Amino acid sequence: MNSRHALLMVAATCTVALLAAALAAPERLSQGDPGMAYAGPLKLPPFGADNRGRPLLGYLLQGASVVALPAIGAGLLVSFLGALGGLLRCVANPGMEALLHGLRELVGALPRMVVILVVALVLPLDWRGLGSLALVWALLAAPGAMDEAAEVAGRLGGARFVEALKAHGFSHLRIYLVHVLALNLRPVVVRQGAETAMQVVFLEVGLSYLALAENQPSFTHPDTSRSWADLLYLGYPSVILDIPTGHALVLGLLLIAGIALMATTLTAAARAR
Amino acid sequence: MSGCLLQVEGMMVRSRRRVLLNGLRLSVDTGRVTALVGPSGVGKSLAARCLMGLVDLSPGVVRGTLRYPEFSGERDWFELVRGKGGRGRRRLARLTASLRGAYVSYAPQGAASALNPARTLGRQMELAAQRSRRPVGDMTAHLCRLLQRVGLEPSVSGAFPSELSGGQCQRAALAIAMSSMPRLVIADEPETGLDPVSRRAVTELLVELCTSSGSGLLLISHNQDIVHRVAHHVVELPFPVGEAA
Repeated sequence: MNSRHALLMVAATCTVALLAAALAAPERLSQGDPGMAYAGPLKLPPFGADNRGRPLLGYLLQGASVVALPAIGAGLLVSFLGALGGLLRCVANPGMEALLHGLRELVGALPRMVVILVVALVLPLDWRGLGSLALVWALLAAPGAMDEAAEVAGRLGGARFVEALKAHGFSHLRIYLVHVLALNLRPVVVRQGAETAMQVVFLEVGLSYLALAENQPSFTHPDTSRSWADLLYLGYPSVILDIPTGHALVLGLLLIAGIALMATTLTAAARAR
Repeated sequence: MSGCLLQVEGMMVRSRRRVLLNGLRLSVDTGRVTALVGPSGVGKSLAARCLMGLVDLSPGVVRGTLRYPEFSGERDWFELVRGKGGRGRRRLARLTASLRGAYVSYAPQGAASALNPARTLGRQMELAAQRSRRPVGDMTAHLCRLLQRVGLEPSVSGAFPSELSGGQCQRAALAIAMSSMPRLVIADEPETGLDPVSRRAVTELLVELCTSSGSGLLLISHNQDIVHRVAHHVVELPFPVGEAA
């Protein structure tokens, strides 16, 4: 197994684990056993319990179900739009190129977090949720991805190897889909997609933590669900007070590290030869 | 017409603004080297693309005939594009796709940037060899033989272009061009970007490869010294003079 396969295996394992956790998530947290409050991972495997004796496993699974689909969906959307941007450059339409560039300049100038908060406030109550925010985040990220992919495609499309492939008799479709998109644009679109997926998870954790700190309901998920931000919020007092919830903090941080690992390994596997 | 691989008569190419090529007339025979020479910007690479049926400007070829006698007899391929617009150009590119890579192959200018950066050399050679009209037999042995003929170790077949030097890339491009055992090779300034010693070695290697395998070679260059030493026919391409658009 070479390094690329190893990276792919890690990325695939993280993704499958995220999806499996989302599928296995209970609708509500279990009642819990007050006697098990603050139980550590050794007393209540695998992850211990919260301050009311509820297993942290429920937090993990529910948090995964909150972020899994929106994050992966946003990542796929950005990858698709990035690939589209690269292919549009290949058909050499100057009007489209100018439009893409202008869109990137315009959207790039917008502060994304402010846009997200404004959108969250403007959206009707029924539409508020991580899905719609992830879509907005993806649309904000898409022009940059399209423009970057278009630049790479521009360099390759004008490059002599495309000319040489045409001279070798390969069809335009095969040249642009296989040689340009799959082989040369892949690192760009995969990285953009993986980064967007990771950012959506961080966005959810950030917004939920903000809501918890303000003692307000989060608009990224229903009140019956727990986010990974709950783990961080639960574990944070152990840093400054003598409350034994450090294991919740560690679990929350490990989950976030897992998402970062997924995005990083996927990006590296797409780039590695 | 026996032994004639390529015949062009009176080719005129123009863009909407000006005439780019006018009155090109040349032929390439089996086992012979025809050189197309001229200063930079005269349209040598454009001529090469048009000869392979890749006319990528409008109106493009407006006059002249293009024949591949050994491949398609007396058929005039430019008949498809003269005055036919974009549809004609696309049709020509589509119909000549079976010709490119199989009957005629191309060694591009500046090989380091002409190789696919994301494919190993061996895979690029294999893809080119799959276009061959003749059975290549054992593919691995065929590719190893070719690599050795162009002076590369068979082990470089697993290397990516970024791992090769400029001279190695140029030799690799020649190996790719020869992979399909074409009848005609169009080499567009194969000496570009090489030092004087490698320049001469690569050109001589190309000539040796083509003549020994009975292929014809259309060598495009602006290096008069090399051309006059290796070519059987030399066609000078002057700056085009023609009616304004």
